[in-house]
Amino acid sequence: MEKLAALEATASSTAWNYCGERLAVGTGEGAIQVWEKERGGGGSSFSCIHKWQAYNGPVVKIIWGSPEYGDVVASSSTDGNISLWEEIEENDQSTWRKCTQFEEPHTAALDFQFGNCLTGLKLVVAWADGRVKVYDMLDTLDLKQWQLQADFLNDIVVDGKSERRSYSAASIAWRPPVSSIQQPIFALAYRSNSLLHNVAKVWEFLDAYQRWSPVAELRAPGEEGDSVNSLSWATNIGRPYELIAVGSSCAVLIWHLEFSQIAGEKPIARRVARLTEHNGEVWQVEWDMSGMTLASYGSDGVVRLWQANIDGVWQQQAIVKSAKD
Amino acid sequence: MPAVAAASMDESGGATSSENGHYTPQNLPGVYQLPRSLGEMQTPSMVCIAWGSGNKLRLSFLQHSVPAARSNTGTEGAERGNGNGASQSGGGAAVIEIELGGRAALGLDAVEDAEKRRIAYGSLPAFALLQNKRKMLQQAKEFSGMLPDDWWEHVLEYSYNISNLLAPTSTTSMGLQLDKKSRKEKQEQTLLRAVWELTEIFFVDKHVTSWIPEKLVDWLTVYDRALARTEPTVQTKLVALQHKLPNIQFPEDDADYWEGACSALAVGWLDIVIKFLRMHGSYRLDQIDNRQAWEKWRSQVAKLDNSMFWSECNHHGTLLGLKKLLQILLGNVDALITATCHWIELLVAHFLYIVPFSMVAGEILSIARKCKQLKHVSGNENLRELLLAIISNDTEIVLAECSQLFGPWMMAHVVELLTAKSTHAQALLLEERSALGSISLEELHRVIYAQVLSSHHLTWQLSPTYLASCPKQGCGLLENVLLKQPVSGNSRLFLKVLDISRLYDLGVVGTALSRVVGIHNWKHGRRGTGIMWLQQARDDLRLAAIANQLADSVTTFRTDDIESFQHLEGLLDLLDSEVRSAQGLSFLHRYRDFKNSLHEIREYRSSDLCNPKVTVAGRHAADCLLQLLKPGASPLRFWLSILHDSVDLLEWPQQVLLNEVETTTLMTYLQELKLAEARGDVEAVNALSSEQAKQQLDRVRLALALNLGRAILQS
Repeated sequence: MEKLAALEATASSTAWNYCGERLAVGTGEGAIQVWEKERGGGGSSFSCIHKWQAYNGPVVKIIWGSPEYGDVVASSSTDGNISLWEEIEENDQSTWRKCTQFEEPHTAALDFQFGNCLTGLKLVVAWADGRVKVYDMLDTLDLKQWQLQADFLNDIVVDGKSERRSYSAASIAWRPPVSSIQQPIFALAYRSNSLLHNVAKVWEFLDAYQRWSPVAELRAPGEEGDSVNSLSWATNIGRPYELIAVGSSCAVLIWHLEFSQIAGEKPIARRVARLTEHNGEVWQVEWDMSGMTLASYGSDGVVRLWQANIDGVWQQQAIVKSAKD
Repeated sequence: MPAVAAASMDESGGATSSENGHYTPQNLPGVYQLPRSLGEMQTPSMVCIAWGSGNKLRLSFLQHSVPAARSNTGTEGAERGNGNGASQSGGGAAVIEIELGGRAALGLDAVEDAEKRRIAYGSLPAFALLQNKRKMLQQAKEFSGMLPDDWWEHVLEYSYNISNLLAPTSTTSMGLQLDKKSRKEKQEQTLLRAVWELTEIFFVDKHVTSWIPEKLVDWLTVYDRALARTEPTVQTKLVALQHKLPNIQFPEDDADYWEGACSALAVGWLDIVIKFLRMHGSYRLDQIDNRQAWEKWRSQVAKLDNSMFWSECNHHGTLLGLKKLLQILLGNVDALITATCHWIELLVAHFLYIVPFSMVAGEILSIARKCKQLKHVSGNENLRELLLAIISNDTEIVLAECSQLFGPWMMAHVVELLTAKSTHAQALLLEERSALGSISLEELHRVIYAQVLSSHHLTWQLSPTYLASCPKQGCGLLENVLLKQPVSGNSRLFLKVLDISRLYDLGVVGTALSRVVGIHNWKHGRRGTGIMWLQQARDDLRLAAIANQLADSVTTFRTDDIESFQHLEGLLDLLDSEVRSAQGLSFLHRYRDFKNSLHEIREYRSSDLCNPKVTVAGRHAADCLLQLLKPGASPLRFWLSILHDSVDLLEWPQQVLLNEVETTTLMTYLQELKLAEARGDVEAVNALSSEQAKQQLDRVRLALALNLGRAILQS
């Protein structure tokens, strides 16, 4: 166990870049920092190499974009807008500049994730009014130019009562690339006051219709009330099915999603595990690089690690806890 | 699965080194305890989980709801003194990294990392060689997939290679000259080697079947001390005696002397028995140094039992001691039990003195089990179970216990031994299982080990060899391992990754990483390198975008800024080699020529105003300009820049460079541009919107009008 970095006490959000060599940190005072492994010495401690004041309020979330577009970071603050930053060289010094800002009147971004599809970089944003927007980068070199590619509601309004629905959180997970190709598919879940709509859905961009369609729902009978806090889609290193983990209000759920070989046929979702050891909210779930180990963190303050045994049954393998517990 | 489970960490982050520490029972989760410094931190309001390469779990402990002023008094602050990031109050939030199963990766908790790497590097060639042989043999058998009957011999060679890598053994010691300095590290490796070689005896070597007892005696000779790590053995007993005996004048008077001799005899260490007997004051005969045919042996011993010798022997201690030895030779069960310590020793004694192995081969499990019961001590049950399973060829238990005791390295390598000749083990390990995502156990263990290797920057490059032997998931994981390498700032690493991706036919990975490196260089000011790598990636999209960006920058170059202009020229040359399709490239070259000739004119003028070359250069520049103004030759957004650059030619002092027709052409372009702006053409509007553009426009108009006048007059 090694301590990599001692952050400021106000650090509010962290994210690692693609290779784990850089750490972006958002602070409660609205600053963004970039930490990098100290060169030489062979150790693995990190130090802050860039810092800039990005907001007046705290940074709520920060993520890295695909390295195929440079060193790119997107962040959001309590004002609900998303800012995009990139590192460039200026006067022989690397520096971070703001490229653009995504904002919507009267609503805030709850979650956002980059997808690196064949058509270019995409940013999916789940806005607090229940609208999901997909933005496309126009010029592969220029992070300033974006256009709205799609705008749809996660929930189809059937009863006309959508105005009474409110969304407090959202979680988005892209299907990770296979052979460096990312399909335009992601899973998304809102946490809302309407129990019926707390379900994770898988959205796919269908070329035939030129629009995003929900192709699967991760809904198990009898558990419709469980809201979703976190989604994680495992890299498929060669399984015949996809693995999606859901951190819900009461359990870690693991789903198999089997995409059909026949075009136009919807994938089949099957829940393979419901793990309740956290005894409460599961705030985050995260797959490792192979999809063999799932890490989860919950309201019990413990990080738990899960693996399937050779019969395919998911079990808790280890926990990380503080010395005093 | 072993990769994360079997480790227990103490507060300082080291693995618990107690006897039972890393042998976590399978049904209980392993516990990673955070360092106390973190435990004392105010309860984090949030923990952020992230994964690094391999099995590296990275956790950020955040407490953003706590105002900075209330930051605690923790001493772990690690202020880096750079003043631009590290907490000034100490403590605060922290990021830690846990290498899951890292210390247990070889099952060798006490073994230094460097030693583990030595084993990892050393075992790779043996593994690769065996896989190559398998491939070749399978291909030779015309894809029947069946391995030849002598396959086990190849595995045996592999086994020797691996075993030689593990802790060196001293076969001459006969278990007596124990190296006092031998550290725990050696013991653990020796235990690993002991298990490895025992597996080799029972699972691989077809030749030893008829002389397994002898093999076991030899094995005990070398490894009894490894077994002594967890419970008492004959070897421990003898080592104690070894220190005691030299100080005794008449060893035959000491009961321990005879017990020692009995024990050594029981496990078949005849050399040691002889050493013992030579210490006896009256030792003369050397009659027990050869194992003979079973019946003959027995009858001789029985004869000895009834011989006149006993009545002649007047030393009571010798009499009793020799009787005990005889009881061992006669296979007296009680005597054997007393003489031996470890159950394997009892098992060996059983084969040597009670029933020969050839007669009980089928019942070995029940005999072994009985020995284990008789010698039950509270020791390491996993190890006892493992040894029993190896002796009784129980593949499932061997797998389960090996994984508990030794972790991923052992699992990835021992599978070859298990499947060498046992069809049951082959079925078990090579069958694809839907519960595992359609891979076999063999592949699973290789994938797990490869992931462990990929956790470390000094071992990740070993993982491709193992992944190459994983038909289903190897390629996918290898892609991931390569794509997670920090290539953008490390060109040596990048070239190595490129090599590996070429070697394993992973062109997409090479392309993706070339793109990453290309863009990184481009955005960090190393434009030439950036273009080169994007060309390697055949990324026409980005190269076209770069050509566009360069085109834009052409207009902003001042003609006297020769350095940046040459730089641009270099970039254009680079782009030219492969991206002929990129729009506007021929324009860029023409524009470059035009700018070059303008630059030349300035050079000549600065040296000598009346230089005759100036006029020639002027005419050349005018020709370049007219090339640029051919229909469709230049994008509209550059027209103003071109026209503005031509002012020098229009106002040529010595003569009229551009005639009436040529000047009219220029004027047409100016008019077109204005019309386009009026139409709302984005390019035109953008080109003419700035205040500077308006001034340039006026300047161009004036120059055109003047030159037209001069041209008409001249004609």
